[in-house]
Amino acid sequence: MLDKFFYPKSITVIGASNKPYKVGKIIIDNLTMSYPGKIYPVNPNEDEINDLKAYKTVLDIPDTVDLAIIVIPNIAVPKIIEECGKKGVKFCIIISSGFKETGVEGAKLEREIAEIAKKYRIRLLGPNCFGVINTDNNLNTTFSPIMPIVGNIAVFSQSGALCSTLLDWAYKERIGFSKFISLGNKVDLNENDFLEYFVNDKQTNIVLGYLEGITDGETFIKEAKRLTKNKALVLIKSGSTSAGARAASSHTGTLAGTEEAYTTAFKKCGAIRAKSIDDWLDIARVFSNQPLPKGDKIAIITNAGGPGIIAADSCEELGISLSDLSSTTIEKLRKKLPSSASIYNPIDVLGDADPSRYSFTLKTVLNDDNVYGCIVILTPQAMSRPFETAREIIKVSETINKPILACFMGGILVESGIKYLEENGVPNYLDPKKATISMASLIKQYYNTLRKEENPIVFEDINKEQVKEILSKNDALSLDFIDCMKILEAYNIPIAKYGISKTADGCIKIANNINYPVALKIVSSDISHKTELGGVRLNVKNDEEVVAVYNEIMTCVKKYNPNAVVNGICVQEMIKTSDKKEVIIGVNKDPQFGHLIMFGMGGIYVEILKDVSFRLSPLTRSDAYDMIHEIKMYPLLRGVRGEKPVDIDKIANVLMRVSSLVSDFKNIVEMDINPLICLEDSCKVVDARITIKR
Amino acid sequence: MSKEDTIKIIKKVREEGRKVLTEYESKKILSVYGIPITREKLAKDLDESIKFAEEIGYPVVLKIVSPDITHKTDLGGVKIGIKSQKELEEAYTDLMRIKDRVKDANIHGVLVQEMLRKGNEVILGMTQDPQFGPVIMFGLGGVFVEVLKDVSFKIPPLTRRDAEDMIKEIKAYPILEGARGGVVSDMNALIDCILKLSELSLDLEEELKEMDINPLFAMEKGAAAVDSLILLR
Repeated sequence: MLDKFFYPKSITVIGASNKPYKVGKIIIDNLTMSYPGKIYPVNPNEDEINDLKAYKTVLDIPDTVDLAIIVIPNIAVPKIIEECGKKGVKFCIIISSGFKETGVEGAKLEREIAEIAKKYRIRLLGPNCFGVINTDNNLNTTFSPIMPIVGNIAVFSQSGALCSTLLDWAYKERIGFSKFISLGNKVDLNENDFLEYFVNDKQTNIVLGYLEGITDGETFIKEAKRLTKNKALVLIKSGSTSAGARAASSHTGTLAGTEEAYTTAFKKCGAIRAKSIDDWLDIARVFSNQPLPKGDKIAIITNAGGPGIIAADSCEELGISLSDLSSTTIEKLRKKLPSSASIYNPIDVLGDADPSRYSFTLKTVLNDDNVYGCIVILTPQAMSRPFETAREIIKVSETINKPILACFMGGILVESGIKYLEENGVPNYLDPKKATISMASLIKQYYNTLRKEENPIVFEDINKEQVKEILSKNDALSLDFIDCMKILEAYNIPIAKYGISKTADGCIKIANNINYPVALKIVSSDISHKTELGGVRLNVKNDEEVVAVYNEIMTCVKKYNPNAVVNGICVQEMIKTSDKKEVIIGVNKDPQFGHLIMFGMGGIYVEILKDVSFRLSPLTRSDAYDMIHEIKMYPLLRGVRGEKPVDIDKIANVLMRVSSLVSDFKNIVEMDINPLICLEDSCKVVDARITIKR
Repeated sequence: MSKEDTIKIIKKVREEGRKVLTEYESKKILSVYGIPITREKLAKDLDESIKFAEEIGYPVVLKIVSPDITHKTDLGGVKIGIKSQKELEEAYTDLMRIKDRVKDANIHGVLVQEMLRKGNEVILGMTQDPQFGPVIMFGLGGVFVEVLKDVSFKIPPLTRRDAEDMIKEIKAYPILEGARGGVVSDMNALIDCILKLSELSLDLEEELKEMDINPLFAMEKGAAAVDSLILLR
């Protein structure tokens, strides 16, 4: 779809100029300097620009036009888009600013141009963007003075300033790009269109993205997943923390903010998240030069203890293992290295290591099948010859297809070595920790390529119609207890036995049917935190206690809110046994990514320790189990100090059923199952809240 | 009792060739340093147990006291919530059966203890670091310390401010503030306990290897050590 966008046969620059330092001048200069296709400048006040005939309007161009670059004042843009439409232009890049980013008036103008473009089926990039570069055909529609070198990294960025920064940095570091896109205000073309394009773009092996927001979460996950199966996607996502701090009535609502949704979405689609610009660039560089490791075990070679330990510590933090070297490798190292060298990983080749010792060790270690990659650390010692050592490292890197990252530490003494390494494709890091972060990203991408698609479980034993009926007859946005329980039952989610009555006598009857002890709870949609105001009483043991507790609850509630509508008192089965555990399952609908499902230990653990895990719906079987395993309190579910374990399979089943429920009913915006009581061989929902949106 | 008495207790334990103090001995040392402990008496037999239970007032807790049994709970050596003489007799008989399981256990007797209710269980401990000497640990009891390792550390001597920081540093701190309708713990009593433990650790630095007060009951008013274990170097 975007072929003509990146490979246009003819281009027009609307607003091209002869005046020095004007954007319209720089862009036409950039294009005429390198772009081999046809260029048509448009400017009603000029006859000729850069030796090319200038046209009064786009309609006057005696040729078809694939791509228009628009560099005129904002207010004139709608008219120009209209003309482009009449001309049959397929793509427009609007460099001009003065749209949504400036306020209400600008936003109105932006909507106007979007509508015109839609009418003529023109695809728009921008407005308020920096343009596009394609190194494959020397297309540079930006006003950057730098044309990047050819490489395999594609970039899309929501910040134009970051684009020019990245171009400048990469040029200095001799890092090349395939395609370069400044997204601007994303009125039409957005990250998802480009992700889709990069899946099959032969020039691109790595995609870097800077995003402040995502246009359509579901498509993003789908396209990013497709891309990461073969190519690395390294993203910086900013501006998602404070947005998440919205007032919400449920636990899930407060815990499942925007930041969690993004984190979960990136995890789901295999995107690598860079935590800083520095990391972003480091990771970009390593992917552009080094092969992927075929596993998560690496070796560290160092000529000094300290940096080796720092690297080893950081590996542990990032989940990278240090390889156990094979006995053959150890034997070989023992024979050649000085007796005081440490031949166990990290391998300390000692301060007096010369280039040949480095070379021998690196070769030997990388030939070990347990080693999937290597970090080579060099500190400047009296006998170190950084430049020659760098040369040896490069020689080894040319013969073995495993990633090698260098960590020549210091300043002037190691400078020449670092320069040689980087010119020849081995990235160098001054800090061992940074080398491990890059290695971890390579490993992560390797596992992305192994990822198998797993489909969510489809349940047959559910009653969709019943839920549809309950939801349609409901006026309230927050469903009452009975409706919540009925919805769960319709999806075959096990619930505790209960009955509801408006009289003490009725409660006694229910209690006797269920068997004592029972719990008594107020049922009222006007009261959300029942426990705190005494609306819940546990362990009610006989008829007399039922009457007493019934009256107490009613008094408490009246005191709290005299106007609260009380639907009755729920008499519920008490789940006796000391080995029970309470967990919470929650759902919150994220505006971008849809239903975010949360799991955690109930009560105090979720509220105070925020010990919860998240996944986006629909859940696969592995999602459900991973969520349970991820919480810190997981050992509690397995039983600590002689307690019996709870049935994890049953919990996973409830998670998948909840996911199935919210996938079927998109208008459920919030849901809490709190608690789900878990026992050795079963689990039961004791309380639930569901909020819907009309 | 005075500080000399703590040395006497330790000396006696060492003479018996032991490194582990019983709960009763450990808590005697705590009380010398002013750390409040549960009201309790060491009973030699059932009759004495009944007498002490009446003095203390039901409900009581019954615990086996033996230097050979350090993990009392795991062996069924702790009976809580004893409400009457009849229950006490049953519990006593049960406790004595431990002898069948731990052969040759030297049993000092049975500890009759007041049963505290309504409080947060915290853990207060001390270990020796080879570099820094005694290190004081504070955390919430039970799973918080065991599973989450939600604890804070400081090196004595401690100021009041240090002790307060230790308490507030743990993630579960809101529980001590009475989150979700729970008990609001007496912060000053907790701070006092930490400071007294700090003093004890420095005084007995040469003697102690590690120690635990687990749990220390942090009530609305006051705190009390419910169980404690001291290990000698």
